[in-house]
Amino acid sequence: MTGRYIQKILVCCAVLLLVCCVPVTAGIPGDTDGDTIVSEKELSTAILDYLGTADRLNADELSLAAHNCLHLPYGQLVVAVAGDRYLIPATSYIDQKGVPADSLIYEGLVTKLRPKEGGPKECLGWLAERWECSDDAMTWTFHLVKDATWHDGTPFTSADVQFTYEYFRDHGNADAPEAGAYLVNSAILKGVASVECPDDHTVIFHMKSCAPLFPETLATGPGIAVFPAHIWKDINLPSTYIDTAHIGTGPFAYGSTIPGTLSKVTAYEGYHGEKPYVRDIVTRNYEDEDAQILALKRGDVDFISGEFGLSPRKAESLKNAPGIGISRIPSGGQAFEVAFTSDVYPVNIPGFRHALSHAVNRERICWLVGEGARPTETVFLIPALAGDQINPATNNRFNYDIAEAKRQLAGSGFNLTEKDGRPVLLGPDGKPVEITIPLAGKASMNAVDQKVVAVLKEDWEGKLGIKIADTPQVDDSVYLDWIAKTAVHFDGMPGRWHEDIDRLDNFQRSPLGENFYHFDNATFNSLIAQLKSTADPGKRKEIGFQLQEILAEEVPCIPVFSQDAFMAYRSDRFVGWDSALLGGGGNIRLFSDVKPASADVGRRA
Amino acid sequence: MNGVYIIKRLFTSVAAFCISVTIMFILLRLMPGDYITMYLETIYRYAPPDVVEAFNHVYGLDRPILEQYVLYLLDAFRGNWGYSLIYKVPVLTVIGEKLVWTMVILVPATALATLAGIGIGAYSGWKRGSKTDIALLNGMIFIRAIPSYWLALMILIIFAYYLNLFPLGGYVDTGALITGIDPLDVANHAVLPILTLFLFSVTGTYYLMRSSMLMTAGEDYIVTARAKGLDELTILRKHALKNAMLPMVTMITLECAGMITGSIFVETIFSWPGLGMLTYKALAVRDLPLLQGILLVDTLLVIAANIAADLIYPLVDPRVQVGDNG
Amino acid sequence: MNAALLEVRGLKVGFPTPDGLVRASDTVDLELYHREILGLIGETGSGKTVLGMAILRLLQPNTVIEGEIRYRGRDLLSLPEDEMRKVRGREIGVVLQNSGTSLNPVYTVGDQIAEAATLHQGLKGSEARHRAVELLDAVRIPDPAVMAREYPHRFSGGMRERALIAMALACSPSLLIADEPTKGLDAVTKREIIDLFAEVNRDRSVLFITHDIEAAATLATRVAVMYAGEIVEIGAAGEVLSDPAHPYTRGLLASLPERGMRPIPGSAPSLITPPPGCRFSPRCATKDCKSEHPGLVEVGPGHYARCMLYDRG
Repeated sequence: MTGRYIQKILVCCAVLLLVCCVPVTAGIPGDTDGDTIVSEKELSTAILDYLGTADRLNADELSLAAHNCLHLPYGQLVVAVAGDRYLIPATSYIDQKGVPADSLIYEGLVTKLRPKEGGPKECLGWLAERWECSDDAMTWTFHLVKDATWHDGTPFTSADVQFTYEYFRDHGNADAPEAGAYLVNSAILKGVASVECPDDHTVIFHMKSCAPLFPETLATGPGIAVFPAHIWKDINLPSTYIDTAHIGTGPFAYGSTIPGTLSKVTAYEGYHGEKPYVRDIVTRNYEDEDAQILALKRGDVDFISGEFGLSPRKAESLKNAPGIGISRIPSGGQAFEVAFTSDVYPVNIPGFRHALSHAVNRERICWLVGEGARPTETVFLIPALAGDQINPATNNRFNYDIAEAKRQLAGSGFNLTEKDGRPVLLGPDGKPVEITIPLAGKASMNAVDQKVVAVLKEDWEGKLGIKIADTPQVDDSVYLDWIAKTAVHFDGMPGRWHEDIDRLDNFQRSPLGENFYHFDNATFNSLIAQLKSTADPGKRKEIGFQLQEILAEEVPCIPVFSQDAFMAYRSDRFVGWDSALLGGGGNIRLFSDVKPASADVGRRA
Repeated sequence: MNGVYIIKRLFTSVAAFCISVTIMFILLRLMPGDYITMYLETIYRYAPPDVVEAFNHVYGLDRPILEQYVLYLLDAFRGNWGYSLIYKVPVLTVIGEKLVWTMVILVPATALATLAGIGIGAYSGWKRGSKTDIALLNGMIFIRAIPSYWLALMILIIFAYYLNLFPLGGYVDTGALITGIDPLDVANHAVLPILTLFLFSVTGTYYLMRSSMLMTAGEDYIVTARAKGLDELTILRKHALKNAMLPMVTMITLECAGMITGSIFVETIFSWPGLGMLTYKALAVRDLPLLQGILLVDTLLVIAANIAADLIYPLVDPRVQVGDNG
Repeated sequence: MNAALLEVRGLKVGFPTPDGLVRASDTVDLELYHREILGLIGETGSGKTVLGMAILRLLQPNTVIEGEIRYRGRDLLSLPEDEMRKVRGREIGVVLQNSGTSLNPVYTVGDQIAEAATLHQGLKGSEARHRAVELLDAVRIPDPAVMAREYPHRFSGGMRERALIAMALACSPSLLIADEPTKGLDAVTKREIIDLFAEVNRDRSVLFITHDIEAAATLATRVAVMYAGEIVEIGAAGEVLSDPAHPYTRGLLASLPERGMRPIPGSAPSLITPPPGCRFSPRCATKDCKSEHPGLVEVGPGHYARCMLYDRG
């Protein structure tokens, strides 16, 4: 019994070993100069070789080379997703599905691009060729691509865009006829006053107020996809409509679905943009990240990205696996910060916040957290995401300097004494300073929060004498209540909270009430108001710099580090994974640039 | 007796349903956080109050709580369980789709676990103190002690990955996109989830059966049977098993109902699109209509299981009769 | 006297417990002759039931048994288990105490009786059921054909006792061991059961275990009195019960209601560490015999007693 299993295991090992020894095909067959394009010359050479005696490519490989040369879609790419909401459902949920960020079928007007480090932020045209706004940012004009068609052949026109807006408008107000008719994402378009179409390829959005970031709003997750007027015009109750065709304008057209586990899209021949090299993309659902990794290693799938990027530890484990490549997205994961509740003692004393801003040892924290953690040297925005919007003058303002921290404390009425050989910090009231740091479920991934608190404790308790009384683990649902009454907390937020000066409104005492930090600075508040009504990019940037300067002075929070995100793929089957990345999986741009490199993928069903 | 009994039973069932539905209603509303705020916060960090208001109005969440409750109760009985907030389709459609897949692994796993648990437990209890009994008992304690998540993962890694005997998840192979769902293919995908569920569930049945058998083995009628000259196997099979099974009837029927939502680890690890996963997701985003729907289905199943247990009891134990007020 | 049907020689039965070995039966010698009713009397815990169960080897597997139990010359204690199974029910029938729980609640009484008939006499379904009805009729269950199809919980105490007797008689055993068959029955029912045993005795021997001296007096040919795992007196029923030799037997008789109901002072001794010398001595009013353990001594023809009053050897 056991003997047989051992034998089986040995056979498996042997096979694995053999697989390791076989040289990995990393290039496209026939592509001799390695530019990932099989030129006509290269193809001809390959064909002649095939017909002749050299016999360098076999028939399947030659077929791949020919497809590549003629830019015809070839083969099947299998993508692992985490959760059935990333599959194309049998019923169309236009509310959260079929949106630019994660669908290959539908497109929006624009999509976002990651900025180059220190470079400007950009949007990429999709159904819009170019776009411009009026000086007051009250009117946005989108010039649409001319040759786009829906997957059923119907031409795409500006009327579809207008219809999409109106559909959301009509299904987004409180008078929606039935619960199933209400589309939550209509909130994204609520700043639009009206839409007009001067011709088939021009759309003008009239805004209710100044909207300098409107294109980005349209593309921010989940974003708004344009959907076909000729199909949806008679459908009043989106939730009961079973869409079996999923007609979009994207590079891939809907194929078929097995609910909850698989869906397939196929390259659309009439696509208006760059046509894909891959014929089919199969999306396969693995709810568990470990299962995804096993599937990639075994070759069941070609691409995995976890739900928000693979965790660094798991990406690390794949590093030396044969035939597997890793992509690293700088700051693509969460960004972590030590945040203050500015009206709670002792952090209501600015000097205290200043002192702590010099007592966060980022190097050590990043070393502890491990692979993929990079220290944040700015006051809030993250360079890899915000590009040139970062005020260089605010860089390194929160450097690690315990001596400086002690000076700041002494200057603000705190008194560092010693008791039983341990430092004890006495507050202005003469009592020892004691704080509680609640930990939320959000930051618990890989026990990041535990590690950070351990480092903070070393410095704050061991050097500055601030007692960290307790670090209770609290549930997400009550976390907000907790942080409202504790002075310090540690938090991880999605990177996109740190990508634009517009996001600095996190610190505004908003009309909606208090912010997370209970931060209330009159100048800051009015600057944010000013920013919201400013359209000129230059001026906006200037305001943004001022805002960051205030943050550096007031220290409502101390950014600590951001986490890189990772994706892993079969480098032995496909090439071209390193194009511009948005982060997250299933990105339409990513799969448009991927090219088959192994005839295996052509033999798949 | 039967007519009166059935009416009585029906009445108490309806009452039980109403009570659990009410408790559910209250509990779900005591839960911190709500769908729309949590969803909008992922886009805006602060939920725009006008959107929240519009949403609440459309979904009737701004009405007085008592009115909501009455409407909810009426709708629960009318079978109008509303729309899922995440899936945007009627709750029953979503549940129905997932329930089928839950059943595909749950029914065989529970059936096997029950049979095996009863068989092994009965033997173990009958041979109390023997080497076999000690070995079985310790084996079961070992299985029980393994954290479920880890056990499921190990089964996946060993049987699917290293031995390459089974798929790594889902319920069909990629080929199904072209050929449609093949029952054999589904069966192949179901083996590991069923095995895992089986291991989760067999220990409980085993413990109960073993202790029940321990008690039965000491009964006087077992000595009577032995005094008649019956051999041990006949005594075990005929005289002990049936009596020891009596306490199992309730347990098994209730376990069937309880396992519906209890297989979330298995569903996650094996990417099996069942009800456990759905419950977890609905809970995570506070999809109240869907949660209510799932809990209603669960309540109905538990009530049905109870009735089933009541109806099965007289069949196996002649002392109990339907309608007895005992 | 002809050869004994059952012969018990030096039987020692012990139950291992965490506190030590409980000697439930200590060096018991006993004969049971053909067509005889031997009444085995004694207080609760004196080892009567253990003796009866030991004969059929129905005690727990970890019980320590020594000595010999010869049935028709064969030593039952050394029989292999499958041979022993053929003895149970077919050769020696048993009516266990606690008639309330000795019938399996989930099978009909008829089925349970038929089971024995099927097992030992090879009767088929309907024959066996027919036999069960006959047997129920024989033990005077009214409407036997109907009652055979009823479950035990529908039977009264007396009827259950009869059903158990019917079950024990299913294969016409030569020896019937009846353990407290009159326990918990009302006077009328008790009388009927005793009559039934008298009738049963016509074809077979009966070991009648009881603490009901009156029943033993009515029914038994001979009587054996047990105390603390030992037989302290044995002899013809009339003689032992009218002219008891052992102080314990005298005490037992004196405790009967019609003889003044004077209970024996003290309580039964521990069976793990029995008192040295005569086991009854701590409670004995006649003589203090702490040093010597008396043997069974013939005090009359066929009448033996275990008492220093008689043991002069």
